Amino acid sequence: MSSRGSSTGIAGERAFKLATLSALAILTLFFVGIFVSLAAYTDWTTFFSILASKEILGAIRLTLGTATMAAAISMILAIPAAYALSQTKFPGKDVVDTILDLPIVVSPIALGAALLVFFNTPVGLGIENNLIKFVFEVPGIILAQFTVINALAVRLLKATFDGINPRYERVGRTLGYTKLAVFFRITLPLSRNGLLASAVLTWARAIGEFGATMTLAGAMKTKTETLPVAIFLNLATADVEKAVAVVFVLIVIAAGALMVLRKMTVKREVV
Amino acid sequence: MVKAEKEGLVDAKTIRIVAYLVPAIGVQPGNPKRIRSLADLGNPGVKIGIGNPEAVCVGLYAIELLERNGLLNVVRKNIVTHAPSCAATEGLIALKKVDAVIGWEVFSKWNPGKIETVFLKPNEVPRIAYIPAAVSSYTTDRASARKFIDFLMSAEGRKIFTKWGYAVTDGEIRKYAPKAVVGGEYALPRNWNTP
Repeated sequence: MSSRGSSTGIAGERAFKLATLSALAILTLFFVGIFVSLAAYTDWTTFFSILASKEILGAIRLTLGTATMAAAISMILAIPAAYALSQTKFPGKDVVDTILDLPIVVSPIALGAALLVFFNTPVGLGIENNLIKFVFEVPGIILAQFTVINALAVRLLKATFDGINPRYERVGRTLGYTKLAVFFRITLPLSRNGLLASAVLTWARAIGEFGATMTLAGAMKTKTETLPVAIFLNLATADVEKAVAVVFVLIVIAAGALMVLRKMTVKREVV
Repeated sequence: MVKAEKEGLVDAKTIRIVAYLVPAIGVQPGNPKRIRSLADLGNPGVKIGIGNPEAVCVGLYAIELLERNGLLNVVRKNIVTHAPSCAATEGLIALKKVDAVIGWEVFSKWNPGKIETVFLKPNEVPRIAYIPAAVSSYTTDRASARKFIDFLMSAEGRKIFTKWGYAVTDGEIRKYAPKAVVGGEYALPRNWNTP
């Protein structure tokens, strides 16, 4: 019985391996297929002239600028917030946790619509009229991106802080560090990979943000035209070549970000 | 439709005009910014929305209207956003996001109570638009397509359009702009988006 068990075990193991690898192959081929069909559609001379156009260069600049701002603000708020969520016990923590998670699952266009309605309230109007204009303006792009990505930052950072052995912090305290010094000299350095990962992923997600941006900041050519908005506007005028060129720009930025992330985090594991 | 006919996308013999549209200014109920004319759209601090002129017909009409009346450069600085469709242009007022839109007169009938129409002076309107119907060149069921267009043009079909506030005859729309061209084409000026 034991020999039969082991023989089906080997066959079963092979079948299992085959099944998992097949799924992996199908998924990879699916995306490679999409990219190849895009490349086949592209006429490379027009591609480069489109890239060099004022409209697309402006969209690249606007996208990188707003996404960097949004990611920076997200990280500055998410690092302490995630730390509190990871290390502190307080009543209603589950509720807070759920609220902060909502933007990950709620559709970005819903978040954009909620923001748009918020700016119709007396508080929202006060902000618009006296502080900063968000609706149909560039700060609206940053706010929309921030709203969508900050949950991701909190989630990734909380997982990072959860993974840190509290003994290191306690040892730091016994050796005379203040709580603040422990955080900056022990916790943050130990979280290096998690910090990098959440910074890069939230930044990359902000670059691709469309639904909330379009709803709050509008889709006005050269004014609030981020790269995803540029795809939308050029598809609306049936300028497929231009839309495809922008798709390539987004893929290159995303691939670059993922590669940088991989390099930076792998290095640390080797050391 | 002119373009579709030129490119052979529709059967030219089947083109019918279902309803007419005249451009007008749409404002918030009660007209709080006191917009009485096209020129008022250039007043300081007035927020204007138009359809995306490159993709939405009502946006293209807006640019033509402003250009013909020598107001494009004055009003452009007040245009805060471009909407992705006719309905979204009207939505800018319904959502209270702008003070005025350049839209169709019929907008005020889509959302009664949420938008007011300010009519233009008849000589300010260079062109009247229309909603056309035609059988597509790619149709696989010509008979049904024709039947649908016949229904749109029938007394019953016209009654539905009239019920929702659309002008279905040339005469009804003419009172707003007796000298305007009906339909035709307008090429967006190259520098429409830059001062």
